[in-house]
Amino acid sequence: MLGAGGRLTITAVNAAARRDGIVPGQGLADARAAVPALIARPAEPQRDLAALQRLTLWLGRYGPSFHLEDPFSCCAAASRSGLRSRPARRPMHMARPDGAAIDITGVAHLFGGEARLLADLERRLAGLGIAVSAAIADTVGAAHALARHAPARGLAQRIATPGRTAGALAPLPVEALRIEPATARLLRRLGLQRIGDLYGLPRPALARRFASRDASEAVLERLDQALGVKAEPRRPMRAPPEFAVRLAFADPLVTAAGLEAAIAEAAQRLAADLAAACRGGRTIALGLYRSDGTRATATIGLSRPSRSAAHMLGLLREKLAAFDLGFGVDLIELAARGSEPLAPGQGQLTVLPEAGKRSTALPEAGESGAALPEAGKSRREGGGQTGALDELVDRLANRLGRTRILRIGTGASQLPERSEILLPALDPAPPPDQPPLILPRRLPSRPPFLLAPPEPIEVVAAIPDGPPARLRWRRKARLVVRAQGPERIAGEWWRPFLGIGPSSATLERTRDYYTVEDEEGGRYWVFRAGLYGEGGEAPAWYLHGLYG
Amino acid sequence: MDPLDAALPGGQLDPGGLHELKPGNYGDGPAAAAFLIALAARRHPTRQRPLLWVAGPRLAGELGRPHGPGLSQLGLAPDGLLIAEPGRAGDVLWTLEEGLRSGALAAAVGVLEGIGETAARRLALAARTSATPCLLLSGHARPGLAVAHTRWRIAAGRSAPHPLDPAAPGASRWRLTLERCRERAGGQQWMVEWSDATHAFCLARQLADRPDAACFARRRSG
Repeated sequence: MLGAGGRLTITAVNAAARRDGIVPGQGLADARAAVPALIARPAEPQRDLAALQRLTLWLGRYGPSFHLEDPFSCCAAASRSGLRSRPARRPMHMARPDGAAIDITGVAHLFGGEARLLADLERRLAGLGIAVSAAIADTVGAAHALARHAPARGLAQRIATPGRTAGALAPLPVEALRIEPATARLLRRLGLQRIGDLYGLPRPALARRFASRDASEAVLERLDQALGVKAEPRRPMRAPPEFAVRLAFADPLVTAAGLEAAIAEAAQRLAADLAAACRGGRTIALGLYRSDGTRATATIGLSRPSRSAAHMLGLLREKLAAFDLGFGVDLIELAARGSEPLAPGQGQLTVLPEAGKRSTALPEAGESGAALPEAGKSRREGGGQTGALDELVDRLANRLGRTRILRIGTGASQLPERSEILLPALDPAPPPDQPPLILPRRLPSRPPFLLAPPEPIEVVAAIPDGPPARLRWRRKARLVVRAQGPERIAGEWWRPFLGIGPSSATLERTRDYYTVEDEEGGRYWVFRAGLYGEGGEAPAWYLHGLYG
Repeated sequence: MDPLDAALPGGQLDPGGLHELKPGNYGDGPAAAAFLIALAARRHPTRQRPLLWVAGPRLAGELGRPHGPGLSQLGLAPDGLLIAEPGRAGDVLWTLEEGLRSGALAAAVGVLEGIGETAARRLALAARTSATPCLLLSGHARPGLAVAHTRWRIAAGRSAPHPLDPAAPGASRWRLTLERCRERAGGQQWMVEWSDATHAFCLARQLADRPDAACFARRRSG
């Protein structure tokens, strides 16, 4: 438990070492002299931080907005209620996050009150072998102070009654204010031992005691932030979702079937929330909080905003197989991260028997356009063709990956391989008024299949500038019996000047394309990159496309 | 494609069936794929009702990727193509089946090395329930499927000279064999030619190197 930095110092100690009088910040040599049996391990701040991040994500079960707490950073939080927890192995004397803060505004009643929430959190973390000291207060600053410096360990002392923050903070030492150790030492020299001592002090008088204006302002700002007089912006680790549904279970879910039923329930509620706001989700995130303090997530993207519970469930079901439930899941969260307006659709006059069974509500645009595969037939009869296609694209893209379901789009280039680009089908269609690709009205013949990248071939030509007479492609020699061309396509010669993209000789050089046919009837689209007599590299032949 | 259609039960390619296309030889893969495109284009895929093109991870590199302008010369609007490139071979069949079952497609096309009889039966069933044809392009050396409605063997044919330039290749030609046809005797052979102007097949004259008069006239007028 030591960190390097000129000399080896102790960064964190366990309970046994503390009993022997070892304190963080002590030199390792001094500590060894005092306790010869000391066991020291190198500090791993990166892994500590990663562990803290994982833990903080898991703490998201207690509130939608949470962040890592860095006591000496200039931006820390202000909230009605802040809650802080601190893992036991925290590196001290380092300006790095060493705690977590959760905004529990409007959340506590779900756990039966603030005291129960805190007790639940401590019990769960203790069960995972993590010593925690947590507190609840009106502001992040006050919660920080109470969590780390409250004298009594009872729950009541660590929950500041709303509106009584000043009283709760008064007996705490000034170090609790998230100020630099040097500043705290100066305050103590001035006889200001407790936070309460600062309350009645005339501010200009305090400022005069400090060497720099910054130091005095830091103290006053931290004090104001802790008391809630001054706002404290904060940066949550994850943007809180626009719509979210949480389901907690008394006993952890251990079977896939149980989990699926729970997700179905959550999806129903989320769909209802979205419908009430006339919105549809574009990205749906599922978070599973396991009872062993870990968290698993799955995200699905939708090609069109949707609020169909059945559709969400169908897509999530694909992802569930990959989940390791571990010791069970005791809380699930289903959230719509991106949402777009989705007007309620026109209800159908003839409610099909199957549709009627599925839900009692009138079918709507997003709902009818998205249902389970088994229900696909009834929708087709209803005429929801586009819906069925969107649903198919969603399903394929979520299983295979967004970039593996593609549509052909146009690119701004004359080069065949760049004149069209493959766009993910999940992305919204480009607007129809996009400027059209400038190409001859009727192109010379083009092959239906293009090799990417063009494959180099060996060519024998009768005259240097002429079409190939023989070519060797994929280790097979072919005799050219018919050839058409050349069709000249200028290369993108400006690329090296502008320094765009990967510089490739075939992209920059002028190309002469030929359509050639071999004796077996195979037809190929070949080109010669570069011209004879232009200097530089000798022209090279490539096979670019295959005809039928 | 009148003579071809006449050989098929119902006068057309069964829309709810599984159709197998095989290249005549290793080098005939592109020819078979191009014929398949022309065949599938007869279902008129659109953006709202596209043609699903599923190519396995290895074969995509062999054949290349579909190229819009070339597809439109075979009668298929590039807008009507939905390309799936599953990273794993097992996902190819899953993608095809999902596509067929959705009923949102004009047709589903699978480019595969080979396919088991059980998997083919699943695809055939999915094609039948949704009345969406499934076209499979598989390796030339693999045995044919018993469940397929039709099986075509396609080889590239040497084209007639271009009517305006004797040194240039003319219209694409395919040597077709209908190896298997449910409810009919298979084994018919044709030499068909693709007409760029009319976007249709026509029978090529068996005498090589002589332009077919009918095709020529149509091209001139188109």
